[in-house]
Amino acid sequence: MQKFARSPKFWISEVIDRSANPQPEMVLKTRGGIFLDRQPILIVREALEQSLKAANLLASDASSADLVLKIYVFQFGLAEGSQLDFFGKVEFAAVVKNPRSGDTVEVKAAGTSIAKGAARKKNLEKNVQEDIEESLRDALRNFLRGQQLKDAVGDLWKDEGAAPAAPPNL
Amino acid sequence: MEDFAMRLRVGLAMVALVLACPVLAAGKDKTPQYKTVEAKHFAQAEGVELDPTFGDYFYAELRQELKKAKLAKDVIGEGETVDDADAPQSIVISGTITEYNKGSVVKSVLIGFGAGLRSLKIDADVQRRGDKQSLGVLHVHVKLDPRWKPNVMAKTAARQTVKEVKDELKKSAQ
Repeated sequence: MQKFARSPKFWISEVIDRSANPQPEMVLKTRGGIFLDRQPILIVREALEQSLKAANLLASDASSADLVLKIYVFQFGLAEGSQLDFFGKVEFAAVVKNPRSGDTVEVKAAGTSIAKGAARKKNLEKNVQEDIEESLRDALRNFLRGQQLKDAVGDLWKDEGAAPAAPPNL
Repeated sequence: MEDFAMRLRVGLAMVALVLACPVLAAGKDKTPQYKTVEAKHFAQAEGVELDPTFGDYFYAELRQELKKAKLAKDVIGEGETVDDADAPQSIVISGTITEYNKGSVVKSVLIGFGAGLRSLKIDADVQRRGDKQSLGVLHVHVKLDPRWKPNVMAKTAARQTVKEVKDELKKSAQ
């Protein structure tokens, strides 16, 4: 997470699935299928909340938040790779809103990961899980350490007289 | 008895070899030269007819190969911020896919000798983040059997690109 001169408190208002996937929990169809234990939107919300909480940037409730995030998940799971390995991809966009002024800025984030293929189902599940976890971690890092978030906070937070400082510290 | 002594000598030699291997391997370990390396999505030149997913997969493979190559301490994602102090020791890799020929299975099977192969040409640019100075421009040309999926080509191209980047950086350091 990058450091801000005066830390705004974020609140995640909503996480919306925009993947157009009728079975969002199904990660892999072949070999009897591999499924997530929860919906991707819940996983993304939980991971983002944990990251913000760890950086002390999570507001206790919506009314005390300086900036409100609305997340749109476009992809969560495996994407088309080379068939020799697994290509994990997590992609989402966050609409950062200043609740006082009503101004919004969109911030995009994406995370990718490549994991080895496997023959045994047990190893297959392990590799797919690691791949998705890694791509989610990568996407969160891309969002929280991204220049786009820094600019968005700078734009929306300028009236409050605070500008984000540069050094990222994850 | 002589046979036993011979076996003992061979056994001892093998043990010594096994023990020496980690020492030799440790000697090869070097601390990365750069603090961060950022790979950007490669643009596609006009006329390149590749699947849109190819770009994403190539980007992922490139980052994976950069991690394996241990070129820098940290392989960051596209558009991530870097500490001002680390910027002079950080590099950015960007590029363009200039040419893609999907090849021909018929030519490949009937003629052989490299005819009908699927080919991909990439121009990449390595820049220092701090002063935007170019550390090298490289041209990568990959050829593959047309029966393989284009994404397999991305894997090969990423590996080749990282190898060339490494060579180019070594040259510029000298």
